[in-house]
Formats: sequence, C-alpha cells, structure tokens
Amino acid sequence: MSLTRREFAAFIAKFAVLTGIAAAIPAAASTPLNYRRPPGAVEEPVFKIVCVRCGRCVSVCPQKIIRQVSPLENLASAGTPVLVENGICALDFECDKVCPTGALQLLPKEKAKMGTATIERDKCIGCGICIKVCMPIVEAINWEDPKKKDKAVVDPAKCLGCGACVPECPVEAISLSPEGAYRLQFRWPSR
Amino acid sequence: MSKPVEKRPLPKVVKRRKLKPLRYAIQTISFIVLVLLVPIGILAVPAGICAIPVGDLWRIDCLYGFLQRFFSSPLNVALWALVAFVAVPFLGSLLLGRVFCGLMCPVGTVLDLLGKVKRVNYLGKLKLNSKYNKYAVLASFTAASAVTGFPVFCTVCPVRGICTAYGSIKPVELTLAAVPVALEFSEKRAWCRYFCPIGGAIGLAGFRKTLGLRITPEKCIKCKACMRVCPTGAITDESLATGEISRTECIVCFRCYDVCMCGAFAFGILPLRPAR
Repeated sequence: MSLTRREFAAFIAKFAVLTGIAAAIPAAASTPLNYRRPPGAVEEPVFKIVCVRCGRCVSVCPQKIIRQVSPLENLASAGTPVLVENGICALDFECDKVCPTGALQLLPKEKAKMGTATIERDKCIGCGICIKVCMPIVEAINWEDPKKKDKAVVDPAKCLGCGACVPECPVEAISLSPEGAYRLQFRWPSR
Repeated sequence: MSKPVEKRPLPKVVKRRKLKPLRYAIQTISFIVLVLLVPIGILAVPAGICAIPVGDLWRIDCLYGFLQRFFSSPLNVALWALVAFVAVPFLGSLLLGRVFCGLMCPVGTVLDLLGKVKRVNYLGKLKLNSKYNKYAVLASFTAASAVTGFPVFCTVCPVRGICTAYGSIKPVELTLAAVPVALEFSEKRAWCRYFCPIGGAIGLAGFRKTLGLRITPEKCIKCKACMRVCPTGAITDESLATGEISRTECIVCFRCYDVCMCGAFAFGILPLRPAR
C-alpha cells in the first residue's frame, strides 16, 4: 500500500464529492413517512438504523398488511416495514416475534399503539357499528353523549390505531393517522 | 543471419489438480443458499447476507452494514450490542481476507457467470480504475451515514438487491444489482476491484491476514500468466519477485493457482509482515 501524492489527492476529492452526494440525496429525497409502523416499533431514528430491511415481518404477517417502503418513495426508509393504508392489524404480534434486530419488539396489547383513528363529527350518523367493533379490542370508541347516542368519538389515549373500525363505517367517516404512536426505547431483545 | 538465441532451461511443468470445480461448487452452493433459498423462506431468513440469524440470540451481520449502523448513531450505547454480530465475518476476514468476495458473494458469482463478455475499458478512459476508489466509497458512505442517521449504502447495496429481489420480484432492487453487471463490461470484476465498499471493509480487516495464497519466487518463471488471469490485479511484477500477493486485493479465487504451470502458488500461512 503506497499512495502517490496524486493518488491521495484524487482519493480526497472522490471522498468529498461522494460524501456530498450520498448525504445530500437522501436528505433531499426523504420526506417524513406518513404511514403507521407495525406494533412494537422502536423510536423512528433508531428504527431506521437497526432495521436490516429483511422483510421477515412482511412474510409472517397473518393479515398481510405489512409492506416494505420503496426506495423511490423514501430513500432513508427504503425497505423498512410500514402498514398498508387502512390495513387491519389483528394484534397477533407475529412481526415482533420474528424480528431479528430488535427494531420491532414484543409488548403488551394495551401499549401497542400504532396510530390514532379519528371520526369526522359532521359525517358520523350515529349508527354505533364502530363502537361494537372496538368493544372487544380496547373500547376506545364511545358515544360522545351516552344519553343521546348520536355521535361516536375516539379516545386517543386508548385507541391503538389498529384500523378495525375503518372499513366498517358505512359513511367513511373514520380516518387513520400514525400520530400518537407509542414507540419504544431500543434495547437488545432478550429472547 | 539471425542472432543466436539465448538458451534458457525449460521450466519443469508441474501438473496439479485444478481447483476450479471446487470454486464453482462453493459459489453455486452459496448462491443457492443466500439468494434462492433464503428469500423464499426455506431457511426462514429472508435477510440474505445482511443479517443471518443463528439460533434465537445470535446473528451474523454484514461487516460494512455494521460499520454504517455504528457510525449512524455513535451515542446510542445499545448499538454496541451489534459488535458481537460481526465477530464471525470480522475474525474470518482477519484470518482469510476477502475469501467472501471470491467464493461466496452472490454478486461476484453473477459477474463470474458473465464470463467472457466483450469488454470495452471505459473505466480506464474515465480514469476511474483506481483500487483506492473502494476506500473512498467506504469512507464517504460511512460519513454520509453519520450525517443522515441511517445506513446509506444499504439502501443502494447491489448485494442486498440480489438477495432480496427474488422472493417477490422488486424492480428497484434488481436495477441496483445491474450496476455491477454494467461495470463488468469494462473489466473483469470491475465492481469488486474498484468500487465495492463491502470488499474494501473486508480487505482492510484482512490486510495482515494469516492464511492465503503466496508465490514461491524460486519456482516462478515470470510468465505472468497469473497477472493476466487475476480478476482484481492483486499480483504485480513486485509480487513475482517477493512472493507477496496484495492481501487487500486478493479475493482467493484460485485462478492463479490453476493457471500456473510450474506450481509456484501455494495456499498456507503467510508471514506477518510482507516480504520486501
């Protein structure tokens, strides 16, 4: 290994140019992800580092609602798992069980908050289907006024964002967002 | 009247069993396991070679993937846990050097399959054929990981592309894997030789490797057949005299071993310091 001065200069130049490209393109091409992560995901900056983009969670999901982000969509998160839009998570935690990296970690069902559902008050017709759907899961949807029973409302503290209520609503008043998701601190999984 | 031709003693031709079939066998098995079996879940490890789980607790990680992950988050102490997972590739490289590149890497296997395509040395014309390029790629993508906070090279890695594209065909991943193939039309193993940061990391880990190929200078007749056949340019004029093959460049593919007609190549323990 003997570098001439010319080779060394070329090395430094290539290093500088490549670093610029490799750091600038992801920064420019990466908008914040507006998708729900699978349950038990660690906090976002660490998630992007520890996840090896292997796709095991995608293949084991019984509901088939996990997909990998395309590099064209978001370079920084390319290959990491997100939930498909309005996909219903059955809270089996199969993804957490197979994750080899600790990016997805097993956690109690009540804590597995992937996002929040919101009901548009003006659209709601008060049929109560969503309340019945949510009842066996976490009882997050209740009547706004238990006596009048005309509008349903989501308790964001209880809602897991599993999406079970979304397709049941006859007037499409319910929407899901990844906001308020519970993201764990990274620790090495002790399985 | 012609000049009297200087008479040289004819070299003693040594016939040895060729190692080419062995190399093909290892490459085929690695390719089938890493690319064909692993992603469709027969071994239940679709990560290809980025992270191969061993049992429930252990893992074999990509050396360069670890480097990027580590620098992505230097303050996150929990990532020290990943150090144990590069123990196998790191110690393997320390001992054997770039044996992964020559015998196991699926991209390398694909490039070897291309064989004798018609080559135009456009990398030479663009002056991009420096072996130090791969260290520039290595250093810059590591620096970019530290700046952006995620493993940047992993998102464009052709090895990951080949390993993960097959299960459910992914066009973007396959396109990434086409980059080394395009470079192959310039020079043999041009990707591995000039650009691959994974090979660079493995090579750096094994720059004082203990097991490898060496030349016995007394047997060498300086026919330079090995230099012509070496896909990474690890053998130079100097190595014919000293017996030292570049330890960071040699991918232990045994092509030189097969081509040498006087049996000057031997695989064994190398001296700690290269002969000068």
